[in-house]
Amino acid sequence: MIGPGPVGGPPAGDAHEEDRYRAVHAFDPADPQQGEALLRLLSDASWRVRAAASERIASHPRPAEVLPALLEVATAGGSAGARNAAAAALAGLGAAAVGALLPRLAAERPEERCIAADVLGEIGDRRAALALGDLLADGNANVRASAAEALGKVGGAYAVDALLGALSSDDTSLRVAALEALLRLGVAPPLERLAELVEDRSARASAYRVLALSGDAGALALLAGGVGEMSRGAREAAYLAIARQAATRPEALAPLADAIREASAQSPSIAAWASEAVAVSDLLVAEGAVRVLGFSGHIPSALRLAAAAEEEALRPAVASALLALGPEIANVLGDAPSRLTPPARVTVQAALARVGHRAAIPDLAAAASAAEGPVQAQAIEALGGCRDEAAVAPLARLLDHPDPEVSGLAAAALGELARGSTALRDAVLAWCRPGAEGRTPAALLRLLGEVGAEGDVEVARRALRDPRPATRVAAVQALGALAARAVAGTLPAEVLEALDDPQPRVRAAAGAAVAAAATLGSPGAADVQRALGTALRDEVPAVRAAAARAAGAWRVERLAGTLAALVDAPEPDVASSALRALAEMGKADAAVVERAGAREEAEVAKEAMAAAVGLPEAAAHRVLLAGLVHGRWDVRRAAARGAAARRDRALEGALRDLAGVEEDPLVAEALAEALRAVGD
Amino acid sequence: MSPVEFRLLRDLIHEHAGLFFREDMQYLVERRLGPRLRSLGLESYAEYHDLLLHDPQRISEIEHATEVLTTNETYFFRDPLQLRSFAEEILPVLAAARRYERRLRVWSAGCSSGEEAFTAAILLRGSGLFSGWDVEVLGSDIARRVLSVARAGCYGAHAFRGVDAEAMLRWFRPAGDRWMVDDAVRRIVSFAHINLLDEAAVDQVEPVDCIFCRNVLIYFDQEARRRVVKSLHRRLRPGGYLLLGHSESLLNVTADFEMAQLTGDLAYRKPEGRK
Repeated sequence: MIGPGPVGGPPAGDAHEEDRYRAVHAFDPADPQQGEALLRLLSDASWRVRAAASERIASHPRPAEVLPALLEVATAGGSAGARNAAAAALAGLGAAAVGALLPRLAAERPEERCIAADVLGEIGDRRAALALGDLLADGNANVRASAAEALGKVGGAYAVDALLGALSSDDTSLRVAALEALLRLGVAPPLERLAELVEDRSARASAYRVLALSGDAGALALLAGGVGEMSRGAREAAYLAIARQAATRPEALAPLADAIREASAQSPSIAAWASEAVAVSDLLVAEGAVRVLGFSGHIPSALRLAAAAEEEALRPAVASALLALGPEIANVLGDAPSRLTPPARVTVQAALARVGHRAAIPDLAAAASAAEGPVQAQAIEALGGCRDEAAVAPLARLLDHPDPEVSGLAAAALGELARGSTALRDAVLAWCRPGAEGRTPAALLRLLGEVGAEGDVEVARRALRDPRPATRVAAVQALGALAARAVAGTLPAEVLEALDDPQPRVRAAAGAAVAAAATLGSPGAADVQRALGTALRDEVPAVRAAAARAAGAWRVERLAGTLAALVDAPEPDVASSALRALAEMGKADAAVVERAGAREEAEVAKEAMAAAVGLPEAAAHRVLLAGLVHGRWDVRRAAARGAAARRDRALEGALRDLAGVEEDPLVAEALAEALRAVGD
Repeated sequence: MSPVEFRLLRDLIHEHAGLFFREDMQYLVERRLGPRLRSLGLESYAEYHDLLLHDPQRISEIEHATEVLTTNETYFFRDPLQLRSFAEEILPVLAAARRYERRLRVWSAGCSSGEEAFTAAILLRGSGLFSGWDVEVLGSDIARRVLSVARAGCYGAHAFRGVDAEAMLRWFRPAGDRWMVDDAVRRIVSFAHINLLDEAAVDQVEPVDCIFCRNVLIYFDQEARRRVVKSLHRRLRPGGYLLLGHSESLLNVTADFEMAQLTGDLAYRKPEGRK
């Protein structure tokens, strides 16, 4: 038998690997003999056995007992496999190992300092930040680089400052490690520093990657230079950064496009290099290259871009790039789209249609009616974006499609067309309006709500008498939308009557429609008050929630008492909607908000954080301070935003303390904003 | 989609289905949910999040969102190098190992609209190694909508970008402007709705010899990934194979599998152990 057995010895070294692997799982790391055996198995010839031994040791119930031996293996001169397995076990012990590892950062042997830094980085405990920061000045280059890498995993304000300082080091490998660590932390160094590092041959590729994070307009100019770099590694880093910039700041790319077009006119290599990079396996790099081709103005690249549309992940970038190249792409693409698979073909034809190539519309219309799934959706959306009257008829025919997904997309596309110009709007309405007895599918009602005119109010009213609940839902939504657009004049009485519909879905939709039309009425209009008062007692929570939101939007103060009671409802959507309504009408009192703030459901707690803005100081502080240390990131963020909105200096100390330890970037950002707000 | 909207939607989906979308998958989430928003007439992802919290039909909408987010574009004979390894290296090994019982089971875990499960069945049939054997292929997915497509076994042109004319004629028959999978293949393939995080559901799957689980683990966080791989390991018979997507690995997930270096790919194998 292989296994720990009564004496707890390791399986024989010549045992089958799988048997040794299984035996390791049976060892108890807290048993002295078996623990010894596990330590020996960190040096096993099989990586699977080493990994399993490492995992078992990391589950030791009293980490302090095993730390010295693990440190010994991790830092001794054994095999790399054994050292790595021991380091993994140390990292697996987590915070318990930090105290023992910190003194090792001052060990005599640099290998030992490196391992300690690596493991502390893996553990990610901020108690190590200070010591790791000191190690950036170590006499050994490997130790300095390890420390920078570890700081990139530990994070926090101190780590960021230390890494920014390391960018000025004379040590090239430290500069590179610091850049990569900052990239990991999502922190962009000052632009002038990055401009210097782009000139530094060794750090250049890293500097380009970090430029992805910079919101500074000058970063785009540097990236434009990056696509013309002679080094492929540096160019690919620039492509990657461009792809990231396109994802986070698409509206700011125009100067980059101009700069690349200008540079491409001088250097044909820019388009040629980007064309090659479209095929690399790193899809972010490929995406950046696709965007560069679009910016380059190099029209023959349209063929390369069309082929790139075969890769699903690249399609949005290909569509943008073809659009950027403009109408001339039609001259080079010829019949190339017909050789592509349907999803890629629709991507290319959508771009052709958008640049005014009308011949693409019939193909898109065919795909919109006959294709399936995402290809059909893509074709429908493309027709909506082409701003051409020829797209109206094929889309109008889809409004009655049996799949609500398809008819809904057709309504959205027709709405987009209609908003393009008055002529297009007239064409859309002429095609889509039903005759006196015509059918009014839900998608058509939605379209009429979005772009219809006064006469369409009657169509929606009629549809409210339809026996099908889905049609009545769409009809009441359309009436709400028409009312909100001031097309209906006043809130149609039928919308309030729909709050009494036998179907809960219709009643909930009616509540939302009343809320949408709130701009029309005088605060607390009597008829609205009566109808909402009844709806707030509806048996269905979704209806009560919708009615509560409507009551808030209409500022029906007479319903405040009912709403206050609903804040204690067990259903979080009812409670949060009621609290929001009270806050909107300035009627959320401290006791109600504090009760809501103490609830477990994040939606209710977040609403309490927003409502706390209007509370007296002491109560607001209680609610917000509890929210700032809530277990959920979104509640902490809501509390930080509440604190920012109050601009309350008394919260500054707490905000500052929390900003120093907050690990969630979105909360950290909100805390920083709050600190700025209370400091102003 | 703002980072806050992404996180809120991600958390909601994670709470509901256990699926996890990393920060770098925000773009994918945005792209896949975009048409759904427009179809519903919503103008922002915050509105969609609100709908997922408050709408009377919120649960079915969350399920719909989960389906949309996890349905990968797929087609027959996708990833030909891996499939060649399956047909030319794995199947002969399994044919030899199971020659006495003459029974083979393959599972396409996360099969989407079924192309992968049918491809595996075609390769099994086409290998000629299993005539007279008890052979079955199971396809499973978390998305019910795609499973109904899979069960119909009828596909449009876009599903056949990796199929040559000879294979088309041999394994498919025309059905209007679409193509139906041949009955001989359909007979050995079945489909089931399984959330891979539901261990009880996974344990209903009878022991299998090979699992395709390609581009599925990317939707789980590390902890969930470990659980799923553990479950798959449990369903695999000793000596059975696990095939992942080309960008996926079990590094830092488990060492329960050994690596099998194939000519065109890397596979994971459940070790036999000493008899």
